[in-house]
Amino acid sequence: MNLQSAMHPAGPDGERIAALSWLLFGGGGAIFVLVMVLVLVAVVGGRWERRLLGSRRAIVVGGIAFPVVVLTALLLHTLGLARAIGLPLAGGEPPLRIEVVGHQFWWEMRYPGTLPDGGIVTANEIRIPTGRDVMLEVTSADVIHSLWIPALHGKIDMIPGLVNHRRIRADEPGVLRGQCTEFCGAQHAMMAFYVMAQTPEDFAAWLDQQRLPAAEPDRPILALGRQVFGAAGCGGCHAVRGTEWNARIGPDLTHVGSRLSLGAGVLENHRGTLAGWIAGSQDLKPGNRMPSFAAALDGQELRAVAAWLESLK
Amino acid sequence: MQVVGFSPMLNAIAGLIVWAAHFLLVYGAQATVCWRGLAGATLWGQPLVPAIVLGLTALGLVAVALIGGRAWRRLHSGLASQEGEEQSQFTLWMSLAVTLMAALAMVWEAVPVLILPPCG
Repeated sequence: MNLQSAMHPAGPDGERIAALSWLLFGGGGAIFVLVMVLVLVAVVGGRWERRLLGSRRAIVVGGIAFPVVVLTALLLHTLGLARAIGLPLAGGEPPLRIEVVGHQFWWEMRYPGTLPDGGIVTANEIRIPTGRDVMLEVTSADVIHSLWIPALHGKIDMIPGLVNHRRIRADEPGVLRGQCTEFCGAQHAMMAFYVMAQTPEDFAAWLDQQRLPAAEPDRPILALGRQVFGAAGCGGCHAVRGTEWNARIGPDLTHVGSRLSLGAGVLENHRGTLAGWIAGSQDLKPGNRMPSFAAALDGQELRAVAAWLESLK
Repeated sequence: MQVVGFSPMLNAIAGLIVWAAHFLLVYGAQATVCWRGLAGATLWGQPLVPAIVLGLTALGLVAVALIGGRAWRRLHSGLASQEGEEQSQFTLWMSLAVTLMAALAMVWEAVPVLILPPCG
């Protein structure tokens, strides 16, 4: 699986960057071999070869002119590539805007303009349509983070008080993985997210689903779960659209059951892991801002709240 | 052994000082212009960031040309050898080489403004 590999690009910008990487590996390797051969000649070569290598001309050509020419060519090539990466790609619609906010230690994704009063908010997952430019507008709510989806683009810093932009585009449907690449605290290594590239039709269907408020519980255990959620104070940090809870400290849970992972890439997402995360989030990801609820909830309450959250597809 | 005075040493590294000043000013100017939201502003009809960067680069190149030219003239006037100081010869050559390196580095630093958008 190459979910998170710059050497297995999944979009036009990723391909450009991978091509540059291969150029650097190939060129660097060739120059290394050349230098090693010259070292060998200097050690075991005859008088004539050694005198040639030691001449002023050899030093000027090999030590000054060659690096200047190679580095200048590489600089111009790289700048041209950087320019191409910044320009909009040909074809059609204006870019889809997605705002990404870095938090210690999770990701908030907002799709502005998708609801009459703002937009849907998800977490730890970016869904994008294939074949369309997507403009990521990234910032941070606390410390400096950095967003990187290696298969799609180069790293981009997320800086409090500043919005940085990065255009991305995926060619084919599929799942990719991204990660925080600027050390941001104790759980920096467990700050990942998934990218789901979907066909435009699937993406539109997903968006329609996300626009809906949370489903009402239709079974007693789900109703109990909703009640436990309120009684345990979960709504003090989390929002669930369509309910009385709209706090913004932790991830929006309106459709948490539809997400691929829990805790920003720490666990798969199903009822069991939901219960485990709620009971022991400080054991699974020490230092994150969600307290462990193992002591506050009994087994039945834990099962109920996990079932209700899982039902929020 | 003769001790090299402060002035020849300063001459030898003058190119590096010009380069450092250019680096600082170019980065500072670009960051300030972009921070102030002046990416679209112009100076004498030219986009602001390229105008500042290219202007500073021209100044830097003139400065290193003067420093390097002085070293070149001294090397070829025989003054250095008259003084009979090998170290003087060395610092003059070093001054010349360093100014060439500084010139190249300043050109490399300036090229991006001709190719990339000024504020990313």
